[in-house]
Amino acid sequence: MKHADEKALIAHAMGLDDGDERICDCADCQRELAQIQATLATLSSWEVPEISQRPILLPEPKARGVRRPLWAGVWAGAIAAALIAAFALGRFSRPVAPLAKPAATANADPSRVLLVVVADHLDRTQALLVELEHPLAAPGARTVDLSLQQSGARELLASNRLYQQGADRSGDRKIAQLLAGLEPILLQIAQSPDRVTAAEWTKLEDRIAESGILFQVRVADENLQATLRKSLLNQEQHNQEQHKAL
Amino acid sequence: MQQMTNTAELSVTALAGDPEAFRLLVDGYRHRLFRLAFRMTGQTQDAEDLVQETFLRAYRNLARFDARASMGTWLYRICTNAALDHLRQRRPRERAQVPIEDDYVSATATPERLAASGETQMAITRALDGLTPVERAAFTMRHYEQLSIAEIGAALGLGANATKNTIFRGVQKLRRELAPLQKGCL
Repeated sequence: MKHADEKALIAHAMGLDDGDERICDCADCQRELAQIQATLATLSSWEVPEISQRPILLPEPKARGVRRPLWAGVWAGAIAAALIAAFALGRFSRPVAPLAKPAATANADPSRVLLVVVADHLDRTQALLVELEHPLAAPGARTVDLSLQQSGARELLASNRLYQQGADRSGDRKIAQLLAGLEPILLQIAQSPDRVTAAEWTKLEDRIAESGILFQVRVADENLQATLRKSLLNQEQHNQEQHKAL
Repeated sequence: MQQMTNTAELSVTALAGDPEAFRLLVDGYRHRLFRLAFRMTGQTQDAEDLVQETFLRAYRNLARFDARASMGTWLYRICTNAALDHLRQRRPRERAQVPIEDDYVSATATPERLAASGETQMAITRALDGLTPVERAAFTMRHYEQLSIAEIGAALGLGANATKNTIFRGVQKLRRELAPLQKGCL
């Protein structure tokens, strides 16, 4: 019988051969097979620890009967108000040259509105994450109250998804990625109990710290604010040039 | 819902938008996925995060799941991909320095056995860290999870031969790395 090569021996030891294939029974082949089996047995001795009781967090279902989230009204109102204000500014401000683009239209640019609301969203997220470092705890109490942060996270979570979709559509991948990374963190806060033990709170805080999300949010927020300032400055310069032209 | 223990039935119900059915699937698979993720990463915390990520990705992409396929294979694929991303982000040097966790060894072991067991666990971790992410995934799924070549190939996007060869390469590397442990055993 032909000597078995290493591949054939590994296949045999791992049950990857056809089963009825016989391995050469010479001492060399049998010794090598025994070595492979011993290696696999050693690897089998690797113990897996118990999984913790940490609950698996899933987004709240969008199914029927879900109450309309608070943010929906607030943000829809805010965006509508911004558009109305922009329209009014254009309507009642000094008339501009007929062919020039009115300021109102520029202000109502959907991507600009998205930038404004996302920047605000990141501000509120930062505030929430920082608040988590100082939760309410009565002196001597064994648990800390996270109910405020929890309800804040719920509102942010809903708007987070909306803005992520908006950023995706407008091709702003960096913001979309950041918001996608923010979601599991907000989810964890939103679904944490109202009151947690100090150990649970520390674990949550550690996870947030490890993710580095607060730093990423800060950087993105600063970049967005800078973009908005630049855009505002450009708009002002544009308006001044138009006034001079008149 | 309590009596609905059949995975295929649960998958269909979850696909229809029943969050409770998906929750039951989570309960049924979380331990298996944790085992896979732990053996891929060697870290409890990372493994737990990967399990969370797997279910989140699965939940978001439930509409893409083909009800005729196996929910288990689909979840394994998602978990494996998440673990591969994680391993690729971890630099090789970082991988080799993964600390050995205390809960690897039984609390009832004697000090001598504890030391020997600790060394073995360390050697295993080091040996597995020497594999490429795909070799590690393929070996883990075959040796520890007893998945078929077809299932492993589907999860990794490899053909049958490529899957087998990946496992062979992995075992050859593991043999070389663990050879010092075997001396005196045989």
